[in-house]
Amino acid sequence: MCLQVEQVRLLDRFSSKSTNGTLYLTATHLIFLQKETFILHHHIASVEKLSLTTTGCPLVIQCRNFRMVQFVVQRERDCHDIYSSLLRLLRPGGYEDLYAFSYNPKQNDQQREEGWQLIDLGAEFERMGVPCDQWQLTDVNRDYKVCETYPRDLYVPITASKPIIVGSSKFRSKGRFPVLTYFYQEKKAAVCRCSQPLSGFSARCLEDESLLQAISKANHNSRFVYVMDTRPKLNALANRAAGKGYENEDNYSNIRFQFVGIENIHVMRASLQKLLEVIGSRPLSMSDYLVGLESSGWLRHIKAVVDAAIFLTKAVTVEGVSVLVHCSDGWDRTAQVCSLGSLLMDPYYRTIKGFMVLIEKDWISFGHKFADRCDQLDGDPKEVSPIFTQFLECVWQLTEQFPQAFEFSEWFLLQIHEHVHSCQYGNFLGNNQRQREELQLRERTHSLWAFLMSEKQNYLNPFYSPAYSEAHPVLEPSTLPYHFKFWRNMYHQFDRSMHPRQSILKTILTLRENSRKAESTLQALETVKVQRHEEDDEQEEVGEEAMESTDTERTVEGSSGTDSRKQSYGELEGTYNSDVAKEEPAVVSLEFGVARMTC
Amino acid sequence: MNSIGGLLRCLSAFLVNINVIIMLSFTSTSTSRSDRSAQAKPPSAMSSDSVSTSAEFSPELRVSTQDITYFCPFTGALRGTVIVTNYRLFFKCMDREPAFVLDLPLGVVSRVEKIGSASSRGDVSYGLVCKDMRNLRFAHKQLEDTLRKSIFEVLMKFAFPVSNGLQIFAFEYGQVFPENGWKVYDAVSEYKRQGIPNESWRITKVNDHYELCDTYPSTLAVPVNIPDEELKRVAAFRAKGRIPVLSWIHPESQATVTRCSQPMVGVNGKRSKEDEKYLQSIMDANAQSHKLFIFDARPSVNAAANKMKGGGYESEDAYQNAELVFLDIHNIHVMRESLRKLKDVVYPNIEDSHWLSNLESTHWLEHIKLILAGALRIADKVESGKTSVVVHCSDGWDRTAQLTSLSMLMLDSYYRTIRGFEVLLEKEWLSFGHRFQLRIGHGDKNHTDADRSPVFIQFIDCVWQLTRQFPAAFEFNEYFLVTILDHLYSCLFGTFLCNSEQQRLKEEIPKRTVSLWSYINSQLEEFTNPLYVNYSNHVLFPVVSLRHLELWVGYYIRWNPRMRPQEPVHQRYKELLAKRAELQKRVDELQREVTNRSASSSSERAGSPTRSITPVQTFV
Repeated sequence: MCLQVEQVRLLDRFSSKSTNGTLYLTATHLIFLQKETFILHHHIASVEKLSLTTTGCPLVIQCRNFRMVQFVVQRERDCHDIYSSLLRLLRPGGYEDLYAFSYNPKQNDQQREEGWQLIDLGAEFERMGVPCDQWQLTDVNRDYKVCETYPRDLYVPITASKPIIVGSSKFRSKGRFPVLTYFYQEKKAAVCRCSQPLSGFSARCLEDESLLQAISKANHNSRFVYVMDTRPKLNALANRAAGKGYENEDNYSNIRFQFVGIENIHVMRASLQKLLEVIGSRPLSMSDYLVGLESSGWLRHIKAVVDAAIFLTKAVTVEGVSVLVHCSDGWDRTAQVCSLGSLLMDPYYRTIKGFMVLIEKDWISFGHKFADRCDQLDGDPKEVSPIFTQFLECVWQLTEQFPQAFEFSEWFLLQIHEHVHSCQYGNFLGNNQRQREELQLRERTHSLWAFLMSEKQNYLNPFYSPAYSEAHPVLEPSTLPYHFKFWRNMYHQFDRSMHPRQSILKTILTLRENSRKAESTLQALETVKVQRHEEDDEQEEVGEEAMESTDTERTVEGSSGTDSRKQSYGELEGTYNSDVAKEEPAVVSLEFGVARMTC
Repeated sequence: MNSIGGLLRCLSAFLVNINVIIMLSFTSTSTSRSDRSAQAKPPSAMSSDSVSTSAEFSPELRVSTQDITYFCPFTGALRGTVIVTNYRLFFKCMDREPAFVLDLPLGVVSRVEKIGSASSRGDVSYGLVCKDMRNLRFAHKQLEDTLRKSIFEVLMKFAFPVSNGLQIFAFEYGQVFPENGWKVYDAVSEYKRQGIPNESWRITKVNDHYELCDTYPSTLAVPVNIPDEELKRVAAFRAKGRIPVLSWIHPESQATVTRCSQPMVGVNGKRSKEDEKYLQSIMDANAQSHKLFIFDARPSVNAAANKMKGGGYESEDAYQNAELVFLDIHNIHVMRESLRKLKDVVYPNIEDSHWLSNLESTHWLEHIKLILAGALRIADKVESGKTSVVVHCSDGWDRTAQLTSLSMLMLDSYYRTIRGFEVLLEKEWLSFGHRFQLRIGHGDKNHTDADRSPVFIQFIDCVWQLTRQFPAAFEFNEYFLVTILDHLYSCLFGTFLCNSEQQRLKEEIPKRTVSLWSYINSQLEEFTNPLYVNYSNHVLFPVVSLRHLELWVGYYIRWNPRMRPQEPVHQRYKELLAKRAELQKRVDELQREVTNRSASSSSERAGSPTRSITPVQTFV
């Protein structure tokens, strides 16, 4: 199916500029030519038809990757056509309709298979030093019988017998009993995760108590374990009335209980909504911006997650105590805290490959409900929440504080975010491993990790220093409020006028590129030198590739103020290749020195 | 490599020398001992440790270790030794590992207040309110009353030398640097660099003895067709005689940035034929445009209110082809209040939950935004509109200096080099009479003086915002900007003393003090941005959107130990620079060799291709 409408205007979000072009609807994309705008249907969160104006019929499209476009279609009938077809296209009947099942990057089956084998969680646990004398692999969940939202392979204390596990799982919400997710070899301390206990006001479960006892015993460094409930105390109390709740310190010997106070998915969803409203408003004063940013609470929530991860990290690396983390169901806040904590503790997770492993382990395999949270199938809007976006943002805030500690750059995070919502690769489809197996994703779709790995060059952080990681294996971030900044390049990634004039990252990469060229010039000169020594006559092709000379032409960088006066925001050409960057981040093909554009 | 070693040596010599100065004891009897005599000793004989152990120091002049408590707002109370000299306050606490050291040039002290009263038992304490965004509190047991008094008195005496009829420390400081910073700026050669004089602009010596305007420099650039006699009549119509003069001229379009003070229009709308003709000839000097833009930095309400005091703004009726624009930048009092609030918000502790709304309530970033936006409009008119502009506020030495210097920084890449920036400050700020003495209050104890204002700090903040947006466009780094601000207060160098060129000449500042640029230019590698790429004739138009403006944490919150950067970039910068220099050297050597060889053979061949190699740029 292909719908084509001509004479459509695309309005710039922050200026009164517009572009004329033709709009096409294909089975998978909305395409606007003239400006090379490709929007995947899966990215569209909402379509809204505004009332007819003198210039035409406006159509506002809001995307999950924070792109906001407004088209003005000349004839109302056309607009209605687009609108109704979009509504149809946006509602996939089932998983089979998702782009991943039709996407074909021209790979043969073997290549695809290799792509899926890139990440191996068994090997990852081995890297951590598990199984060992205290922790073992259990086959209790081989057939997803004990817990259907957990992966097949689970690691538990050696002293935890099957009846104990099964008993404990019956006492935990959704059967998500305590299992190992990260093992800190140096102190033999473990990070475990689970869901809330079904304790109500007084219920107990001996198996659950002995499983926690076993976790505690597995670590000889300490006589107790921390139990971190990542919810605010009030929420946990409310859950008690529903027969759930939290561990009673009196019933469990050797635990220390701690609330952390991260809000639930509904609060987070509303907070992001408020944030987007604030930054989306066109005439924005400095006061509105700062006050709006604060009252949205978004950065406060980010800080809460980082705070929790820091607590976890300190307990494990400094005190050497094992920690059990849970929230309600143990797949949102728990995933955030466990993964961010591991990232702080282990330099491996701060590499490109390691970060993929981390996401695969703590998010995909332990059943973060990507399908529901990212609304892959147009499901219950109350289940949608930016939990994973929040995690990526936490990581970004850390990269800002520790520029040398991460192998990947911001572009890597942006690209992952893009594809979590694109449904172009199989990795994030569905809610849990069991569902993914039923969908035969490994056979029928491609892996994002293989794609990202193939263009690893584009995501490297030029500041990364492995030596730094060696010297600072554990990161200790500061949580002063000004260290939590608005992530402009995430929430304004499609608003060109908001892009920095010279991106530091780009500048550095340009410089690197230039220094590489300089090195090759040097080499060329050296070879010439040698040649000259040999025969004095051969003097051709020397320095042809030497740098172009600095011309004295006057150049302007940034939007001319003339534009900015008329329209408050100017257009920036060629400094940040955002539109194209989504498909293929044009990272390495950098224009010389960013500068020579307009005159 | 040799030269770097040399610079390092001279840097360490410089540090040692400062330590020698610390030796000066704080009792009034010993102050008569000259600093110079202490400096006469070979610096190498002193190690930095000698601060606390030197025998030169008679024991009774020091407060013993247990006596002084410094209440650090971040780490709690610390006990240690305090030494006060005529340059600094030095506190050292040996209990901590590493030893805690507080080293405060007395120039930054804005006020010393006694907190303890004589009647109370126990500790007596006093607080130091500083100009650089911090407050310090000391206390000690009330032992011999005389001792306490002496510290307090010595502080009062040396922190405010001007109020006590003493000399500012810069006059005592005799360090010799390999570079002479007083030679950095020469008005005539700077105008020459811009291509002045030319057919439309001339350099006049009418103000040679500061008779036309005592707050202006002696060298001025004015339109060719206005004779000196007429300048005097124009001066009569401009506040403080600050006539419109050239700041910068566009190398291609000849559009100019000119600066002045407000016209003395008054309530009755007075006019001046000469002034009107003068502005007309500024416009005529630029053939590209038939318009002249007058940027009044003030909010229009303020400008109108100035009419009551005889000032005002140009009416478009009187100035035919001029368009007047108000830039809505507030006055020095509003700015002072804004920074005071900012200090409250960031020092000593930051309230986590209301950080952004607290920051908003200071309006500091809003002021920064307005200044940058104004400068951007000026730069745009000149560059894109090819139109000449006249910039003024009330007296033309605060907001005007901010606007002209920022727009020049955007327009002319020369000012983005270290030397160029020094020239910019010397020209637009120092020579054109930004009243540093009054705005900062060097050595003056009158801390409530309404003339104090952070106008210059604001300018440096704006420059920092620009460097954030164009990381590769500036030759200097953040440390350079922080160093300038530190020595704005320190009174170690003569650069920021006095209010005008005339005063500086009278006080013989260049002869009797050391220039800050001597210090900076002698160790450029400390201040060089390794990312710098020199695009000549490159114009910068920053985004003044609020999403791009940030609080300069590295300056305003630097005292908070929790803010210390997790990774020191400074060292890495230097490594990068060294690597670049090394690569460049290799390239140069090879090139020289190649050219030599080709030169020997080119006699036989014409047009040897090797010529094209010369402009190799190296980046790291």
